Amino acid sequence: AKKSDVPTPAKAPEKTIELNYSIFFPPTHVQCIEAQNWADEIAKRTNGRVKITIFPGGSLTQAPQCYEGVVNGISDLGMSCFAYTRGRFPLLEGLDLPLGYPNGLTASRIATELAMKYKPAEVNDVHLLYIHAHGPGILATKKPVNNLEELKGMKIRATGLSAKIVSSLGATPVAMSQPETYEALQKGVVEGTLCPIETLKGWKQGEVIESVTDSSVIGYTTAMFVAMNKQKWESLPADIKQIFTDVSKEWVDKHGNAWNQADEDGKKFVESLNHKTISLNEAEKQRWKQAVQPVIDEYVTAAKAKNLSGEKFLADIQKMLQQSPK
Amino acid sequence: MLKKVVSIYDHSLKAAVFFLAVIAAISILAMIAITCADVVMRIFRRPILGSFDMIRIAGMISIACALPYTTAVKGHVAIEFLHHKLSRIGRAVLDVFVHFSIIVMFVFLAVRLIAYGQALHKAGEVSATLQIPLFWIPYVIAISCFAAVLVTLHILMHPGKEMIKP
Amino acid sequence: MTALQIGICGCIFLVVMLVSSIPVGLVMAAVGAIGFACIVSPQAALSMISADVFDIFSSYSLTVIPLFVLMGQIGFHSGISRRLFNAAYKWLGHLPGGLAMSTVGACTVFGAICGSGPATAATMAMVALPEMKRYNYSMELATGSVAAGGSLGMLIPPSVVFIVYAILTEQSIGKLFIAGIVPGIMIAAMFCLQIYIQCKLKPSMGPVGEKTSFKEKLISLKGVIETILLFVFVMGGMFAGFFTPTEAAAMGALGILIIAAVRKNITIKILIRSLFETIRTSCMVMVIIAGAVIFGRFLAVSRVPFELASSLSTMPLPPWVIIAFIIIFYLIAGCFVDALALVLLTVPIFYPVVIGLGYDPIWFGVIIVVVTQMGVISPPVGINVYVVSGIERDIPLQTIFKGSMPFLYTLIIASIILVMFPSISVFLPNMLK
Ligand code: NA
Ligand code: NA
Repeated sequence: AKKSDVPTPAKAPEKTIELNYSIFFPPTHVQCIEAQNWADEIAKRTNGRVKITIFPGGSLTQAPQCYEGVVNGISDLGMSCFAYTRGRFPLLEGLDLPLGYPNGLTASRIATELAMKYKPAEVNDVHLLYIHAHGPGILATKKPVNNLEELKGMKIRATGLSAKIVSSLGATPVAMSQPETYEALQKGVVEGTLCPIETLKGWKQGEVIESVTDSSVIGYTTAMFVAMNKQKWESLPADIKQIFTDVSKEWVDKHGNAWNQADEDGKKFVESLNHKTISLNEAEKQRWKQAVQPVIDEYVTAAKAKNLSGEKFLADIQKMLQQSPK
Repeated sequence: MLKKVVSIYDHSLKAAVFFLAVIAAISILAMIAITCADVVMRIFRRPILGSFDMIRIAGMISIACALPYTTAVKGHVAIEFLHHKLSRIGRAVLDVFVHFSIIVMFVFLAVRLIAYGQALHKAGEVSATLQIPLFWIPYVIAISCFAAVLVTLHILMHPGKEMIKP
Repeated sequence: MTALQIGICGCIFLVVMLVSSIPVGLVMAAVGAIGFACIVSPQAALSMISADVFDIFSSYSLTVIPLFVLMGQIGFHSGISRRLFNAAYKWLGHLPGGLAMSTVGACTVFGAICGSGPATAATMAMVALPEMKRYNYSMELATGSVAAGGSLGMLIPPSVVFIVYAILTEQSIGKLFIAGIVPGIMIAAMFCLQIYIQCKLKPSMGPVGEKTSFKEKLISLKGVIETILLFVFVMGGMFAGFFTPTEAAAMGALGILIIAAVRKNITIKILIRSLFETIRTSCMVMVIIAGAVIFGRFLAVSRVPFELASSLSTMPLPPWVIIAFIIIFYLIAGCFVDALALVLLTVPIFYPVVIGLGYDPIWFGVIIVVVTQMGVISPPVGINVYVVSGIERDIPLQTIFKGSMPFLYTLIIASIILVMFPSISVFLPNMLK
């Protein structure tokens, strides 16, 4: 037979690139589903040359070990919170500060844009794809809180940075794991919790609180990275790298919108349980802002001690917050 | 002469194992003290900030430092089904294999933990609330693993009995 | 070889290595790491070990283990638990297997404090085993009742497994907790009935004691009044909201120290001895848990549980057959994997199928917990059995697994009853609607 009878492919068929992706969210969580959609989109645009398998619920690496796991190749991709490894990200820590994020979409956009702009050395050991961040952390309590006086001394569940916010507001931070919080609220070990409103539905804590105070004027967030192992990234062909970059760019908004939707659902859940939502008046808002200022100053000082431009970074966040639609 | 050196070595190894065990025991008492103080002070709305961090670190030290002692008293659970089925020579061979495997595993773990400690040091990781540096903790676990290796070697040399009576 | 094949080989290799008399925790860690190295990379496997060891040793929720173990140790060495069992013997000793039944009862109550199965098993082993030995109980029955009784803590609220299930399936934690109460008590009662029948058939297993007068029974309570007070304090403190279940462990340990000191039952020597026993036991338990977690990582990355579960859920079969297959799946998988890891990996696959068949989500949660209970006492990887064996070292593991078998059968019967009569699980939570 002649050679032309058999259509030979131009190149030998490429081996599919298989990647493991570790996520601490349970598989049913909307952010995990969004990550799955991201993986599917990449598979689609690369015509199946890249196959990503998601390991949810921390089944491959626990949330605090996720970043180091990506560095060492336990997983090729990872999604977790910067805050779980305190001290590792001295500049990006600034993203989580109580700066008054209006919603998750804005927070996600600001976080990704600034991280890409600053390219801080602290994330040099991975390839950062994008960042998303939850909506403003608010106050959910068993007794209504209208002002700082009513909050004074209240036992509020908080860990890490949010513990500092709680103390600066004059309340008493009590640390415990998220799974323990439901019972602690039910039995009164704590009288409230500081968290995005989405958590009240996701972790069912809405069942055991009575009132929500819209403290989004000092809304903090938790930035979550999506990162790839550095060597893995370098080994990818240029066109696939481009697809990763493009899809990731698009997915910042998808995650952000998902956070917004989750907060919306959280609000509905709280309403369906007949809990009231308290808005702070203008004067009170200013007092809350002033109260948490030391937490922000502390960040700037700590960053300066490490020769990082924390002040400039912070100014950039605040500028973007002002420009963002409310 | 050699006998004396061996005897000094044996004694200092035992002393080191006991020393680590005492640290483990003190850490457990510290966990109780911190938790109870935190609960009582919470009634007065003055809880101990960072008790969560302290308890986690104390818990980690207590488990890590207990490792050589647990190994020395043969405290680990093993299925000794095959052991009971073998002849005397078979048992001796199996014992060497088992202890050799344990030594290999502990050495691997210790080396990896030192690398992990270095990574934490380089990254500057600290505890969530009190911001205590964490890099030294893997080193402590690694030291315990090395001590457990020496203990296993000792048991391998003196087959059939535990190094320390429980 | 595909990852799936490596996963299955890993399970077989684990069983072979387990009987080699290398400590079980180390075997699970080593087999898990080797398998992980084959599927991912050696470098990743080595990193995973150190990360997991660090993570588990520093886990806040696992700090309850040393604290509850210390509580049991002081109770034992100071004679408090002996008095407790003397009282139990006066009340229930005339029944065949009365002490084993009291052990199950004590586990049920303790399960209401503690969310962790191994911690419950460790504490009760320390308290109950020496006493049952003293009254000439068969060691199979004694250790079996402790290992199986310890699993009740997973069904009686608070329960870590329920919390994980609630998050995965968007169900109410409160409702699930309430749903666990009646099945928990039912299974405790079934365990007692099973012990009764076993001892009736073979009286030497749990020798019958003398009948005692009501007056003697009352007098026996005098020796345990402060222990009952401690119990009321710990339980009450939790329900009144003074401390969390994790903190309750520390409060209980302090409380029993105070009781022993006031009663002059404790010397420095006893305290030191208790502490040394405590560090040994907790280290042993933590090494096993670390091994189980590392092995679980390997199974996760091999996707064996995932593939099995998804092929099971797509089979065109009548609803009750699917439920039966799911139970059998957990029964087999529970032989190898730690309960919590299994729930996390497989519930998201089964849940939509089961709900699609029209079953109640709360009911399915109860079934999941009961089947994971089976896993902690079934060979070859049964965490509770390992823990009991580590505390009572004269008893070979085979004896404890053998002693746990009847309890495993009882759990299977209980799960069949719960499948046939869903209202046992759902009527309480539904009442609260
Ligand atoms: Na429980
Ligand atoms: Na099992």
